[in-house]
Amino acid sequence: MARFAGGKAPFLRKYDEKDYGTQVIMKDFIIALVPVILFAWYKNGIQVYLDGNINFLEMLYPLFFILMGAIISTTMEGIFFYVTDKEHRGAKEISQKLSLSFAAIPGLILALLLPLYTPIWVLIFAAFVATIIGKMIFGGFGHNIFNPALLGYAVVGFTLMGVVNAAGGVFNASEVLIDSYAGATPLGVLASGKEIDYNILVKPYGTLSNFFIGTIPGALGETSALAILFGGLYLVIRKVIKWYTPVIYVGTVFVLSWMIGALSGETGLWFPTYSILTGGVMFAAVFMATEPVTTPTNVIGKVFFALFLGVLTVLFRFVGNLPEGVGTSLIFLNIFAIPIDKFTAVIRTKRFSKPGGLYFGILTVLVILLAVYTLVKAGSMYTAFQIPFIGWVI
Amino acid sequence: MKIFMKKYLQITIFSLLLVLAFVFGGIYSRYMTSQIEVHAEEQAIAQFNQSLINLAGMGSKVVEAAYEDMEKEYLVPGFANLTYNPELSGSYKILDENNIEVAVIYIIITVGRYDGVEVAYAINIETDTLIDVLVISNKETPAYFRTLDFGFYDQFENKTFDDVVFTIDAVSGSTYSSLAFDAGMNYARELYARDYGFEIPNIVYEINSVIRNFDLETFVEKPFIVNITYGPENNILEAYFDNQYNLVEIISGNMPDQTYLDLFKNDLPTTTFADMKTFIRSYDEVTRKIVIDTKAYGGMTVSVEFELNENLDSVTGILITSTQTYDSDYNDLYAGAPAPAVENAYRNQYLSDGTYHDSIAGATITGNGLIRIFTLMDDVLEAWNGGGN
Repeated sequence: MARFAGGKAPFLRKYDEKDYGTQVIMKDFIIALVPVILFAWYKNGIQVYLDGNINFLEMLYPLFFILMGAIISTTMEGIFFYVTDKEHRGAKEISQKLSLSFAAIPGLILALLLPLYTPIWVLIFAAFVATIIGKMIFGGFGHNIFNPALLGYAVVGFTLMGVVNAAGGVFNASEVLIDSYAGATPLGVLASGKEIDYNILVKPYGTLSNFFIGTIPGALGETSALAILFGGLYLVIRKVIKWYTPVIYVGTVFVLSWMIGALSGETGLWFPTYSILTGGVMFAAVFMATEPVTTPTNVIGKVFFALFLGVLTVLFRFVGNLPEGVGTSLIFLNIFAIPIDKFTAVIRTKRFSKPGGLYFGILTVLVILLAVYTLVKAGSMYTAFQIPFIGWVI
Repeated sequence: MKIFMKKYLQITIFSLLLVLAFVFGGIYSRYMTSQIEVHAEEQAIAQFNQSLINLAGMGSKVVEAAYEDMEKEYLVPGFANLTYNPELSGSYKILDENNIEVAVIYIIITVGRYDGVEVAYAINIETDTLIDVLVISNKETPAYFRTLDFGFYDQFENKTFDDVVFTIDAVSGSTYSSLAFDAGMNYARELYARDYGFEIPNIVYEINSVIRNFDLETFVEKPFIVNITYGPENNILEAYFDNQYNLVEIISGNMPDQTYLDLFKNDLPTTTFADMKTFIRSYDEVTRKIVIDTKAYGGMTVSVEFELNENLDSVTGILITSTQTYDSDYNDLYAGAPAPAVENAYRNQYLSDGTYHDSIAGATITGNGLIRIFTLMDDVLEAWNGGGN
């Protein structure tokens, strides 16, 4: 049965309050990104400069690159507004539209997802895909199906990563000097070696605390779990995001990774910890899996979304040929955000009576089946152990 | 213009922003990428300089020096008459924290088994000593070059330039590579003498003659009779020397001091008065067996045991002990049967008619070694009997 709020009129919407609403949410979102941006600048610019490996101009580049993402995506949206709306081409009108559209955010996130040495023309191309194709063509802010930044990142990942790597890739001027890195990111090592071994996956990069702090090679914004946690904590306190979405997502990746490790004979907690601290798991958990437009809006929907996301991340990462897995799984799930939202809304209102129970059962069985499939396939890749019969079929 | 600006100001600004982002951002990112190579080069130079400082074990700064090559000929290993001039590929001054020069490093290319043995020689300019050496690059056969172990490299550490006999012991199996180091070290001393006014110790002496001793009683223990003029007073010494070029017994003259003995020991192997590579190792009067050794390919010993008849005027049997590798992967000139085909060919021919083959293509060094042995055997028989075998 549907539930209704009771009380006396007038009913003021929370969104009309001064310190609430999408504008405030997006401002909070940008504030939450500040520690991530600062750490990216520190790790790839300031620290490398202090090491004596780059000059002052190079030191400024990481910050410049991130800001360029914001400027380019804002500019593109401005042009789009100008071209598509002949009635409202005034500077003030466009400026207002840009402000309501949070034009800078896709570019900002996009720059944080890309490697330091991404050529600017690649960033412009990615920003075009993110802003124009991923967002504006669908109707602008609030109407997009895919996370715009992620779409831009995915297109670059599938088409131009060779160009990015040729231009320098993810390694900053200090990291290229570290022999133990051997030109590979932690996830790259796992993908190429298919071996779960602390000495191979973690030791060349220091300890797990390096992974937590973020002093390992990786895209600009994804390496520091600590900075991301600061941002996430701020968003949770400001009630911009729900705490359980990132927790369930990261928890699912953690548990499944531990099981895969255990199947290969490595029962230590280092491997699941490594798994959640590498790649974009933490960044996606806080800044993308919680994005209000492209993810479900109700509680049960968010829970199932996070569960599916965790399982798919592990599936793509450990079974598929995608070392990262996070971006692909998120884009894939963006497609199903609306159906999940609809099904889980029914579950929420109908509880377990028909058809809520049925929907709940279907979603639960799907998550479990995917998880089992992931474990069986990944288990056989990292160990000689084969599950009889099942392994032959799937 | 005003109308245009009013109508298109916004789009112009946005377009300009995008173009500026493309152009200046592009230049900036290009610059960043180009800097990767610059930093790689800087880092390589820094690492190289650090390796030079580590080699010298002193100082904190490296400055490239502009020293040039000089004319100095050394024998190409394995050749009696072919010489070459080492090449100075780089020279560096090592400075301390007060910018005072404390050491110099010469990087010299010499010839071993192949051309291109590039080694850095670090010299302490205060003590005139070789501090240490560092191999920069080489094209030597890896399996042989690896036999140059710590014991070999230890010889260079703190080696004084004041030594009259300025040489190192070669490593068996890697003799040519060892000689490359030896030539480089001597060339480094020559350069150092020129660039830093160091006086290379010079002792006057001359080997007048070296003849073999074929006396049946003493020819194994005292194989060489050497005549030398030495010292400022032109002292004459005639003495027996053994196979290791140590003075065994004085025939005439006085015992020289140890410096001269070291010098004789060092220089006798290179004299052309006699074949100094081939030795009579033993002679058994009962069995009438005489064993002659020589150094052949790779510095490895080839040993031939000759059995003589009762009159000691003819060879009745030959046993060759050899580990020569003329049919190895490294020698594609050799087209004959596998080892010991060359040894067998020489033995059979010598036993049949007392002659020996010319050199066999691809096994020249082995063949020349055997020829030297048979020649010495002929000389022994001739000395004892006044005739051949």
